[in-house]
Amino acid sequence: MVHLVTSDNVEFVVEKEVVERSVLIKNMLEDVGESDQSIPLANVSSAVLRKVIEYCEHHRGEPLPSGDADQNQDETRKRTTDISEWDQKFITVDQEMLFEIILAANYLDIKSLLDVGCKTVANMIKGKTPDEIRRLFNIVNDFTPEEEAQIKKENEWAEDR
Amino acid sequence: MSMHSLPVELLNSIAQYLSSSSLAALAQTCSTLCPVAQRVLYCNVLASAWSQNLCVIDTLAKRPHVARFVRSFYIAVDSLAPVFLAYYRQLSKAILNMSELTSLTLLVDSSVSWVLKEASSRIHFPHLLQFTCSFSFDENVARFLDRTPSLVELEVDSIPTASTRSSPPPYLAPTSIPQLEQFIGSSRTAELIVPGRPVRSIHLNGGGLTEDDIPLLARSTVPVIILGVVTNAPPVPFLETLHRHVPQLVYLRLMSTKDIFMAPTTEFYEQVAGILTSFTELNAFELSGMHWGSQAKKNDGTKRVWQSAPLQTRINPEDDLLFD
Repeated sequence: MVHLVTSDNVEFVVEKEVVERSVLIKNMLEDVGESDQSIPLANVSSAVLRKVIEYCEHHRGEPLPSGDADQNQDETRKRTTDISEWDQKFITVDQEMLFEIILAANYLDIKSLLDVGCKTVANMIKGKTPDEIRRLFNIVNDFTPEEEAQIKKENEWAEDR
Repeated sequence: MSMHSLPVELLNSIAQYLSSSSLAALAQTCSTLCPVAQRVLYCNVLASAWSQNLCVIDTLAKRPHVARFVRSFYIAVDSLAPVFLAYYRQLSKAILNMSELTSLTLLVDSSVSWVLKEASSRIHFPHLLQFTCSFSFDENVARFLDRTPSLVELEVDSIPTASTRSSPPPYLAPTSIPQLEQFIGSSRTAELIVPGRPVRSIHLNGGGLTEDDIPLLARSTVPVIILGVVTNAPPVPFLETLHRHVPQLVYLRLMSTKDIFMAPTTEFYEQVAGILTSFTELNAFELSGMHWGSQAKKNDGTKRVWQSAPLQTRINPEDDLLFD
C-alpha cells in the first residue's frame, strides 16, 4: 500500500497497482523503494485526488502508453475525440473540477486521464462561435473590434463553408 | 480555476483535438488563446482548390508572425482551375515568411519556379527535411537547395517538360544538401544530384535510363539500397549492370518497356533468377509490375531462392488425388 498526502493534508492509502498508473509516483517508488512514509502531493487537493484515484482504480491493469509513442502523436493533429462511456460519465463534472483534473493528470503524469480531460474541453469548444466559447469559459474579450476583425479575416480560410 | 489558468502546453494539447474551423473560432476569443489556436491551426497547412482554402496564401504573405507557425506546407493548384499571376506573387511572399518549415510541397504550374527566388536570396530553411515540387531542376530550384542544409527527401523534375531538354542544367555546389537520403525525379536530374551525397533511395520517373547512367547513381556516398527505375533497355543485361554497380540493393523495382508485348520465355525466367541470386541483400523485386516470388533466407546463411519459372497453376502433382 502507498500513502499519499494531499495539499489540504488528507491522507489516502492506495494499492500500489492503482497508484502506479501515475508515472510520477511509479518512478518515485522505483527510486526510493517502498516505505511507509507518505508521499506529499502539494499540487493536488483531496477532492481532486479522490476523483483521480477513482479513475485509476477503474483502469487498473491496463497497459501504460510507451513514452515514444505519444512523442510522435504530439506532432500531428488528432482527429478523434471519442471518449469511452465510463470515462465520459466520470468526466461529467463542473468546469472547475475538469480543469483541476487536467492539471493533476498532467502533474501526476497520467497520460490517458490527461487525454480524456483535453478531449472533453475540445468537445465543449467544437462547433461554437467565438462569442459562445467566451460565454462558456468566462473569457474576457480583450481585442479591439479592429483586432478581432483582423484575426477573423486572417483565419477565414479555415472556416467551414 | 478557469481555462486561462492552464499552462500553455496544456492549452496546446486541447487545441490538438480541434478542427480548423473550431481553431479559427478559438483564435478570435481573446489575446491569450489566439496564438495558442493559431500555432496549431497553421502547423500543417494543406491548400488546394478542392479544399477551397487557397486564400490561406494571403494570410501567410501578409502576416509573417503567423507564417512562422507553419511547419508543413502543401499546395496543389489544379491545372484545370488555374490561378492568376498575382496569386503566385503572394505564394512567393508566403514562402519567404515560412522560415520554420520542415516539409514543403509545391504542386503548381511547372513554369513558376521563380516563386522560390525571393526566399532563396534572403533566408535559409534550416529545418526543411522534405521538399517536393512540380518544377524541373532549374536555376531557381538549385539556388533554393543551397538554402536547405538539412534536406533528406527531394522530389524534383518528376514531370518531363519542354524546358527540361532545352536549357543547360544549373550548377549545384557540392556542399549543398549534404544530407540527402532520398531522391525522386528524372534520371537526368538524379545524375546531377546523387553523386557525392548519401542517397540510399532513388526512384526515377519517366523512361530513358540507360545502362551507361547506372555508374553515376552508384557514386552516392552510401550504398543505394532502394531503387525504382524505368528503362527501355532489355532487363537481363540491365540487371547485370545494376549488379556490378549497386550490388547492395534491398528493394528493386524495374520497369522495362523492351519487348513489352512478348510473353517471357522459360530461359528468361532462369536468367533473371540467376542474376537476382547474386544480389545478396535483395529482399523484394518487381519487374514491370510483376512481383517476383522468392523464398526467404534462412538463418543458416543460405541464399534467397528466386522464382525461376512462370508460376504453375498446379504446383503439387499430388493435389490431383484430391479430385479422383
